[in-house]
Amino acid sequence: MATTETIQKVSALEAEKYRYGFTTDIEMDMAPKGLNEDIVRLISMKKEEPEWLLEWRLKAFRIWQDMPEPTWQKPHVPQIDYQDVHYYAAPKKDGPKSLDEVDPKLLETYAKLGIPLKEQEVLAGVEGAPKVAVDAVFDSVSVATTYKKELEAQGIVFCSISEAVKTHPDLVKKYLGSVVPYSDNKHACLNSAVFTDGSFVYIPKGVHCPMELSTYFRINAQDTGQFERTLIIADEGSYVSYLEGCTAPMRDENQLHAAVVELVALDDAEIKYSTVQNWYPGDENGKGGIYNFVTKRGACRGRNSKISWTQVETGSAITWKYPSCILQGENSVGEFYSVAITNNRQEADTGTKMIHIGKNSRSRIISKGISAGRADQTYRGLVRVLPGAEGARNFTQCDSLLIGDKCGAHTIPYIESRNPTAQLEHEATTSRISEDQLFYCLSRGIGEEEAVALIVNGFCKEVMQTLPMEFAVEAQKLIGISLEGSVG
Amino acid sequence: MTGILQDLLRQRGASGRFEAEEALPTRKAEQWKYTDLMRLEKIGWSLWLAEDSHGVTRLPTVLPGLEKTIDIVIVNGFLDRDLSDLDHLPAGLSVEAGPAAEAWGDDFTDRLSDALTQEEICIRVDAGKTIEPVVHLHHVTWGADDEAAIAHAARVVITVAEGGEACIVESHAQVQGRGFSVPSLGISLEKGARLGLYSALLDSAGSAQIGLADIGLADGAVLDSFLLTLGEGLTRRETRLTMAGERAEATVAGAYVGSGDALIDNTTFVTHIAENAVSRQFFRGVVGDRSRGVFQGKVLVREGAQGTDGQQQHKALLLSREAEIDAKPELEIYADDVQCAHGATVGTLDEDQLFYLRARGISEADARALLTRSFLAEAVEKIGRTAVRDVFQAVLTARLGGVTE
Repeated sequence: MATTETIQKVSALEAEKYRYGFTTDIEMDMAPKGLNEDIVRLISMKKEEPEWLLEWRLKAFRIWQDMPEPTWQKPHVPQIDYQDVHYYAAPKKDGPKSLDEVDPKLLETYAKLGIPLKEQEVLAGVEGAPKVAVDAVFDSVSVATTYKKELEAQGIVFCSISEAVKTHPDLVKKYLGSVVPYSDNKHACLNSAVFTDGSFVYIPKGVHCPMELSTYFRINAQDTGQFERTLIIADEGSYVSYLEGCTAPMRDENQLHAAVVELVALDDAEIKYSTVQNWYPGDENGKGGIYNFVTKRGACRGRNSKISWTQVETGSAITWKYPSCILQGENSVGEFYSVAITNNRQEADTGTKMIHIGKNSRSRIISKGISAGRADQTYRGLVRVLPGAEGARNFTQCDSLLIGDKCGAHTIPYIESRNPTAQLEHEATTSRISEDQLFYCLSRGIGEEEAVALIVNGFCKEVMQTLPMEFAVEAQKLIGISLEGSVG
Repeated sequence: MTGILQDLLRQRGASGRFEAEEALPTRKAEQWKYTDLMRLEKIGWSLWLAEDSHGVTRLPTVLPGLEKTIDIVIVNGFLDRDLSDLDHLPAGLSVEAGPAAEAWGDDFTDRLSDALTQEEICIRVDAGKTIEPVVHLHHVTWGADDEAAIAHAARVVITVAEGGEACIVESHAQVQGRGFSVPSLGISLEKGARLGLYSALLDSAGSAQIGLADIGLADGAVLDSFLLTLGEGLTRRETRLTMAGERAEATVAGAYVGSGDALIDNTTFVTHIAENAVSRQFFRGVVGDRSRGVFQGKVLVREGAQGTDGQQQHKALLLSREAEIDAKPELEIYADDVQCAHGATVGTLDEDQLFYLRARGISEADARALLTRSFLAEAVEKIGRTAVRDVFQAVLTARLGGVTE
């Protein structure tokens, strides 16, 4: 009796630790494992892509083949067997016409994730309730897009990138690869060759997108790496807030995720891009877990344009990404707010790049890193001011918190200035949770783990405040869950 | 054609720890990302050898006003016994020259120093002894004429034994011709030893220096150091500090002024191994004309180095459109009970402060000079020995007069 109870209790704990660890069985249409020109052609053919896109993919593939793996990063990246991955997997059925046609199992998946689509439709009907449009990515192909009509009325395009290739070929051709070229780096190159889906957003001139646009990425089928491609274009005077949230099923096989996100902000436009990343981090001993190697870059092309990145990174075995801003426009603004939590054997090498080209361009970087267990975390950032960036300003703050004496926290900022009117400030600190704060909480009857979560949430406050409401609550909970087992 | 490195090794008659085809590191090497050594390549450096004889008869005054010194003179990498005060050394201080042993690491600068160094000068302060007068290490380059390009490498090994204390000033300058020098400094501070180490790197335009200081501190040892870099050529100083003893304390401060085509590179690497040690880095720099300032600072806290206090600060002013500042302040931490912080700023003079001074009738030029001087003075003030501080401040002020916007 007691044994049964214990087993139940333990399995309940295990499930809580990784709440989103489940697999949905839906029939898959899968390409054979491996990568070669034929696979690239197959993907392009399956997507019914125009000739120029196939050529673009093939160019990327050829460069990728000759490009060596990067070696400068801090995390220990095991040799990746690119031939042991399926590069194409799509749900077999044809695209559903409405939510009713969507596989009920898929809807169930979203329900578990806490984003039931139907409920959101209902929610939207409620006066004053926040509106969230979901372009759900189930493995590699978008299967449901809600709110499309409402957005269409304002001329907003929010669809899968494959659809955009067909419906808005000129926009895609003009902007795809214009921020992250297909030859950018090993993983972006791979993505360019084999990307299967992702989101496309176009906000027309002067339009303030009336709702938060959201994509839930979810890696589902065994061994399918995800190669999402996101392209967001904010035309003159427009505004959009985009949410990206990620969860993945629990399993042992390491999975590669090499996404590319490109943002383009024209004159007076603003893009706010928020991410909560909670992919499977591997178990306590570092077995399994996702490799999250993402290239995210925004171009502030226009005058007074603004791009703001906010990320809460708690998952993945290895997180390796630098959401960046190219501040080309006069008075353009770039922001990067980041919370990264690594526990157990997780590794993260993340940060940002702010390239100041335009006059009076400004950037702000707030990075909070929390390392626990045997984890290792690095902030790596670049602030570069080119000679023409008259009056450029940057402020950078990187704080690291260490929990336990077996983890590591590192800060590697590069600061380069070539304009005498530019002002750059960088500060960084590393410390552990203050004994006083912990004692204060404990003496008020708060448990140790809860106290740590509370203190860490306070440490991250500046970043959490920049998250949209929908994400803030979930992200706060995540911080607590991610740090479980890190004290005592 | 394999470049200046192989050329120098040929002149030395040994290749040391270099590969047959190895050349100077390029900017692709992370450690040399901001310092381009290509400007060394076009010059036919001739390596100074033991049998060569120089024509230095008296020392140039590089640090005017520095009094009561014991002079140790190193010309083109070799100890000059006639110019040095070897006969009047105070009790507890010894100076000897002998063949060079191997350096301390595997980095390019260690290997370069090993390959080119022909003599090792050992300075020892005995246990419990305090050497009152300042020991002045003069490094000078002498060439047969103004066109001469001399390469040389000096190695000085300083040991301050348990409880000993000393103040050492080193200066680097040219008497005639230009120099490519590779000075290395190995310093060992034993238990409770105290050392003031103040360096003035004053190489002339067209010269180059790639220097290395490898410093180890035992329990309770205290280092107070300062690097004044006014070199007009390429000046790189790597300071490698190992906090091996508990409660050891080290200050590595510095100020630099770049003018003309100068490249000034302060690279530091502080490793905390023992518990409760304190390290402070404090750098201030000003670059004008087409010059370039580089700061690469790293604090590594090893597992187990609990109670570490490691601070690092680098602030720089850009005075001209063609000047450049590159900073990479780095923290690598593997212990949790630590207080580590770094700060880095790059900017220009504060407009409010300028306005305040202008409103009080001070001319624009004077106001700028005043603010620049006080900006750098914050670093110079870190020098613990008052007499040295005043001399360094005076040298710095004199140089600032010649920096143009």
